[in-house]
Amino acid sequence: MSNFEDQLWSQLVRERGEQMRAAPRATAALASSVTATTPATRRGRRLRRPALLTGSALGIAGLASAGVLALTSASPAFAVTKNSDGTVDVTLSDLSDLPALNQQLAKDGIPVTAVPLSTSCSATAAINNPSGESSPSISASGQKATDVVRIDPSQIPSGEVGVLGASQTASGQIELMFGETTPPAPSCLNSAAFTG
Amino acid sequence: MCNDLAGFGQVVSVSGVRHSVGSIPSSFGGWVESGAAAEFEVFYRANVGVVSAFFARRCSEPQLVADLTSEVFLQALASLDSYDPDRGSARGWLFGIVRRVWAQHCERAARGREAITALAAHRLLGDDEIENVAARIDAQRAARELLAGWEGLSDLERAAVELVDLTGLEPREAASALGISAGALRVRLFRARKRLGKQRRTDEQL
Repeated sequence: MSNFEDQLWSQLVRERGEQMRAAPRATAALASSVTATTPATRRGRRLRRPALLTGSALGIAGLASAGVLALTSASPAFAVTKNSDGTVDVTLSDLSDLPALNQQLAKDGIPVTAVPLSTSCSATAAINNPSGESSPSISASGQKATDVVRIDPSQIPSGEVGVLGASQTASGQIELMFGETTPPAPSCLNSAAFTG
Repeated sequence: MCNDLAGFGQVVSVSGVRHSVGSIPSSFGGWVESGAAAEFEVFYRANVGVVSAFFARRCSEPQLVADLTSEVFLQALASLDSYDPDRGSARGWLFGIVRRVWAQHCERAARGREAITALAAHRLLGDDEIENVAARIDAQRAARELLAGWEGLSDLERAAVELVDLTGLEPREAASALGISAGALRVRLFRARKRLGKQRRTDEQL
């Protein structure tokens, strides 16, 4: 289904991309100053059954694997939880918290960068694992309110970093998709790579 | 009259004045190499829902809701240099633009002109998008009815309650959007909530 928000964003990027590039300090300030307050109209998100997706080649050559999940409004805006086996559980319920999530990941020494996932992203970073097979570094678990994307940093190949793409559906659900790439991580991921 | 709910159901159609999406500027090349677009997208995704909801509480036509929402972000991009994080939050700044866009629309409507003929780069919605935006308008039905019952409040009080209690802005953000001090906002909010509480109790007794 064609989503109004995605279509408008594509239009803005096409027609006003120059304005964005001309004001990097302002855009950085806007992104970082968005508060963690969840707007009233986005409360009451419903749970959705998580699923695993497999990447395909379209700009991004074969995403390793992906977890798609939805979070309830009762969840924190984001959470990074280290498990005793070395894996890390990541949740996100508000895209405005991507910068804060990245700060937490960096603080915890986890080589993963969270970026916006959209149909308009034209960054061409190659996500490794071209076979498109599920990577051992990622799994999606649970069908409950505590759904998480579980990442095993030790399984991320040496010299590579993890990229966690995040997008919001029209109904307010957050979708997370994960891949690995050679640094630096791209500034965004193109969701079309997941539908090819 | 075109302030808040008075405009609902009386919006000026924009049929025939929509513009198709323009071609991609050659200088753009389809590639935003800096992180600026990604950063603005974070801001856009975090706010486009509440911006469209603001207009969905006032307009019954999906195309108009879409056009006004588009206009907000176009104006935001055109005035990025005016954003100063030291002077207020990003959402306060954005909702200042939202209110300005609505006022511009109402001014044009009052003059009997087509709603947003001077605004550039609006496009005709596809069927799926119309359905998508129409759902947003439906979702605001309860809020619309709630706003309609606030006739005893001043414009500023109504705006304060809407921005804080319906839109979810922090009081300081709402104050920034309304161009008043945080203290003045809190006073308006207190008075409005007290009046609405009294009105609700009266309604319950009837």
